[in-house]
Amino acid sequence: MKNIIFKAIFIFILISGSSCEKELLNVDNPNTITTDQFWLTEDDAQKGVNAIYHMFYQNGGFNRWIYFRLDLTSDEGFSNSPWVELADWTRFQYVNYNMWEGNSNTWANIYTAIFRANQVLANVPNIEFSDPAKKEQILAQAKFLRAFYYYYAAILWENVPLVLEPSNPDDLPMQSTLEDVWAQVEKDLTEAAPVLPVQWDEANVGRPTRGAAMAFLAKTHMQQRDWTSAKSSLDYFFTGEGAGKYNLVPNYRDNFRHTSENNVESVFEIQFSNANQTPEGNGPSSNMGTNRAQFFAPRGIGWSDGQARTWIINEFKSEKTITGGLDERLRYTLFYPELEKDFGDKTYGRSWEWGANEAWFRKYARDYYRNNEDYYSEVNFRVIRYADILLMYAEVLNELGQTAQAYQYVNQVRSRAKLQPLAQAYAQIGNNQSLFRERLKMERAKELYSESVRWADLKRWGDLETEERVDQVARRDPDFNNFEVGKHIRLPIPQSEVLLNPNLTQNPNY
Amino acid sequence: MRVNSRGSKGIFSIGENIAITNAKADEMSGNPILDVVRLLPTIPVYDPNNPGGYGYGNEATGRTFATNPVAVADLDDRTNENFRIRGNVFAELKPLEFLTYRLNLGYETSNDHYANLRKQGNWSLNQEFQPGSANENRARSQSSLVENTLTFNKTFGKHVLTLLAGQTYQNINYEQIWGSKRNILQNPATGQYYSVLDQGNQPQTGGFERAAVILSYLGRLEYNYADRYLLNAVIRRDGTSRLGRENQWGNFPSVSAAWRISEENFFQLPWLSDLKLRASYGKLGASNIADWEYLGIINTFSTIALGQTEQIVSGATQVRLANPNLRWETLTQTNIGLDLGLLNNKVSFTAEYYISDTKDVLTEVPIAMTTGNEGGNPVVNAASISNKGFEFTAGYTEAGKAFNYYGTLNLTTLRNKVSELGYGRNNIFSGNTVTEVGRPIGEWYVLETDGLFQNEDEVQNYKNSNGRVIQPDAQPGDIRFKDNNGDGMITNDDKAVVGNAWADYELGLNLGASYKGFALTMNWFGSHGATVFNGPRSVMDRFDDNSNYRAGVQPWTSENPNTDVPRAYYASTLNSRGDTDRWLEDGSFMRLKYLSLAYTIPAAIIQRIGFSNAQVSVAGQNLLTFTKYTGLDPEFNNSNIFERGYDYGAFPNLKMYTVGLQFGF
Repeated sequence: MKNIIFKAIFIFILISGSSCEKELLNVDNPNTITTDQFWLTEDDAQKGVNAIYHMFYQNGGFNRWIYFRLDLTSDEGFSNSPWVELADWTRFQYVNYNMWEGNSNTWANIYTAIFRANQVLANVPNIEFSDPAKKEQILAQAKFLRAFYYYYAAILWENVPLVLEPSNPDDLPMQSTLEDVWAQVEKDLTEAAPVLPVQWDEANVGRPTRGAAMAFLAKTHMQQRDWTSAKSSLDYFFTGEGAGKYNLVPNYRDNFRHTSENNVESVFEIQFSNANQTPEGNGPSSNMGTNRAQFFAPRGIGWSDGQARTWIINEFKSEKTITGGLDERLRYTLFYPELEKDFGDKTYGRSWEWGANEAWFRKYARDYYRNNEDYYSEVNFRVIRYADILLMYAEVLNELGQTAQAYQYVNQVRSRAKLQPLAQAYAQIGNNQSLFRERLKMERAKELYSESVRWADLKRWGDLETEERVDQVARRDPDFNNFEVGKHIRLPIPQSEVLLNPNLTQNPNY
Repeated sequence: MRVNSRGSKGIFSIGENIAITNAKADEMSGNPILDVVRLLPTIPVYDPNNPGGYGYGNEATGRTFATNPVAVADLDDRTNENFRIRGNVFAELKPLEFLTYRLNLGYETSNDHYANLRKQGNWSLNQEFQPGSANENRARSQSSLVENTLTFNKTFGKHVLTLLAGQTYQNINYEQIWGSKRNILQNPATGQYYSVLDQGNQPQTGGFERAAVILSYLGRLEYNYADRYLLNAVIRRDGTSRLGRENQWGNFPSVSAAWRISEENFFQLPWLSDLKLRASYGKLGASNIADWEYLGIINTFSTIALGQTEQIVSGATQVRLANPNLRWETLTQTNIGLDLGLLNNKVSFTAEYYISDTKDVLTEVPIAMTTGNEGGNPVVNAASISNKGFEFTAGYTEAGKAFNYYGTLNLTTLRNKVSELGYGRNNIFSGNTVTEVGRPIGEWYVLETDGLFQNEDEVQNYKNSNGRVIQPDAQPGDIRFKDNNGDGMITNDDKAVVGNAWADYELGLNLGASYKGFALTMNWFGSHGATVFNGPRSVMDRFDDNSNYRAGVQPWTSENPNTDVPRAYYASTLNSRGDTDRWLEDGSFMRLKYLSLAYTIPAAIIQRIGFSNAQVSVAGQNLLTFTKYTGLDPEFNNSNIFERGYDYGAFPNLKMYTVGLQFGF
């Protein structure tokens, strides 16, 4: 009898023994490692910086929505989508500042990429590397990518908070002015450029080169109209280490296809792949492609949420080539009603079945090998190509009063398009700075239409700063009749951010 | 299927119960209730010209992106099968007459099988091309329980004392593997898909695990003197693996006392059969969150393409932030109550005042997007809330006769207030709500509407105190918004707090009657005073989308000015804003939750067949509802504590009819 009682109590005590208690409750996560167990080896550092590139594949950025913020908002495109709220965000009718697809997704994307870069910049310096140069290159890539995203944040919202350390959930950063954001971009690029290689080896093509950093640095200076600094950045390509490394490809169309990627004209290119035909996100095997073409394809082929303004067609047709034909660039820029008549090309295998005044973007479409689109396009997006560099250099030289020197760079671009040298076609310009500037704007439009540079261009040229200048833009794109000077030159900060963070104030007039 | 058994020998008893269930569900794809309304009535359900053979919008005559719900249900086929075994075994030892030791072992396991076949075909205009694909996952969850209790039970004259000491250990885990393939094989003659994962190409596979441990110690004392003075005290010490390492343990005491005044010698009112005064105070802990919310983890799934040959290279980074110091969510409940029984407990009455404070609610709270957080907001001890109110119950029972009946009415009032918010915040904005310290949780924060403009004069005369026309671009038939801050513009700063989703009171009514083996039961439930947001209507009544509208909707026109629906204006979102009080409605309702009629077959008949008792019943649930709410169902659930009154179109509660058969032997 007593034995039984003692045995029962003994078992009871055993099971409730406090020594095994602690271990019982410490259940480790068998699914993945924790942040404490990471950032210890060289491999961790490499993986950490690779993860930043993965943000290119998310909807808010160059996988989908940023083309709406840049190409459709500018006077190159517009939206006639039946999803009216989406279309409203391309024509300055901003009602709900929290709209995910119209505003918040891109904001969130940019800050997630910055968070990933900050993780690398904070943790990698503590890792021991057998080759310290490799560590520096990883840090340089993180700086480049952070600057890349702050550049676009500056272009879109201007007065954004600068987050430069890894985040905690309760962080409420202070807002910065546009000048401060530019300063940070310049700092990151200036530090990154000398460390990044002039060229990467085969396996690492796609990572930013020294030229990519210098090109973005030049863009940053140009947006601030600091022409002198811009010139010294661009000198890299003509008199510096980058000289002779870049050239224009003979066939314009090779800049927009997957069959000719990372060519000699490419300065910085986002590497897309169709290896995972799955949704985008952070799960295993997520999409590494781009949706751009699915959203910009004509009605009945894709969503047709974005269409092209047609004023550029007349621009192209106003000048014949040296052989008397049409500018080939028009062929590869737009799907438009006379495409078949002018160049013999059908649109995704169809003859024109849409409006007589309609057009769609052709760049990055895959109509060259298929008759439909999907969400997994493998065509790399050329963020900067050498033609852009040439035209930037010409613009900078012109602004510095060296108009005569600027001609040769424009002519390289025109010559690829088989056009006459500028001085012959437009003899009246001479060395007149403002005439040259106006002409250069059009040269830029013809070369870089729908390549997501125009919104920054319009801002830089001051074309959105006064009522009369905006009216001129409105003649090309009537959406600009909704444009309010002093307001729509920047996007509203997502309202949830303003409500949540007392250190943020909404952009003016919103 | 359920089997229970029990046996004893001497001081030793043993028993078990086991239940086995298997359920297979054909899950719903899409949201058919909303889809059915959106698609234009001129579009046929079937259209052989479309891939998949279903009708949807087209560019020429019906330009809408609405989804064909029949197409989705067919082309996106989901099934879920769940097989579950639940059982426990217990052994009881009674070494002494007043001492009982019990060991309880419980085990539950459940196997889930989910399959999704995406057939080739489209359900919406301009949808991207998708080949046939199959996705399957199999999961197993297991839960084991070990419980030790020692009970001391003794009666000393009029004193009855029970003491209990116990300890429980629970281990819960879950594992899943999944796989998918694309371009699966389709029989060209019959159209059948072979959705086994050996078919197809582009394989993807994955899996994950979950695990948690809960450990508890508890002690209880129950004391009863002559059924007149009652005391009950409990102390619990709970530990969970789901909280931060420093905060795993929590201590939760409770005590309650009651005084049955009607048992006192000095109390002799013959018609007052029961009078009891009671009070209680108790703490309970909760940690109903996922297993590792306190842990910052590394996501190793990102891949990027690099190099001329597009090699896939992997990356790793932190995606979701975490709060490492998560602590127990504590519910402290204080009750003071009075129970009254009259006329031999035929009439009963209860009045109770309660204070229910929940401290450190564990839930997700929105954080700034500038943190770069993805994968869901991190769980945090988000809020401390207090609920106070009264609860009254009155009942009448007539028993012991041929015709018995009873009725009980229950009324609960509630006042809700936030006492603290996580991250040291003063307010949290979530969706269309704001939660502020000192006020109820989740108040509606929207633009206020003030009728429609009837003509151009009204538009131009709508000015602020400085004479600035507030909505200069408005047309007759557009909504007039209140310019609450008087600045002459309608912006987000004009939003105001307009009510909340908490009911003023809730009502329950239980009625029953029985006569000669028949028993009728009726349960009513009602809620009054909540303001809810009619999410589905905010989607259906928007004219800025090419979709169908609800029958009888009357937008403003100059011939039809007497309406509250604004001008139907395609191509702008101004009249369809979701963040206005247009969509707020009174969510009060009264519902017949349960009605049943049961017949107990007379023992004489049933014993002849070999059973000891048997009962036949028919019952119905949610049969009648009285409400002014125009949405799908006023009794909906939104698990987001900040947005509990937002009806996002949850599938309404089903009206159910059941027939039951119960045997005992």
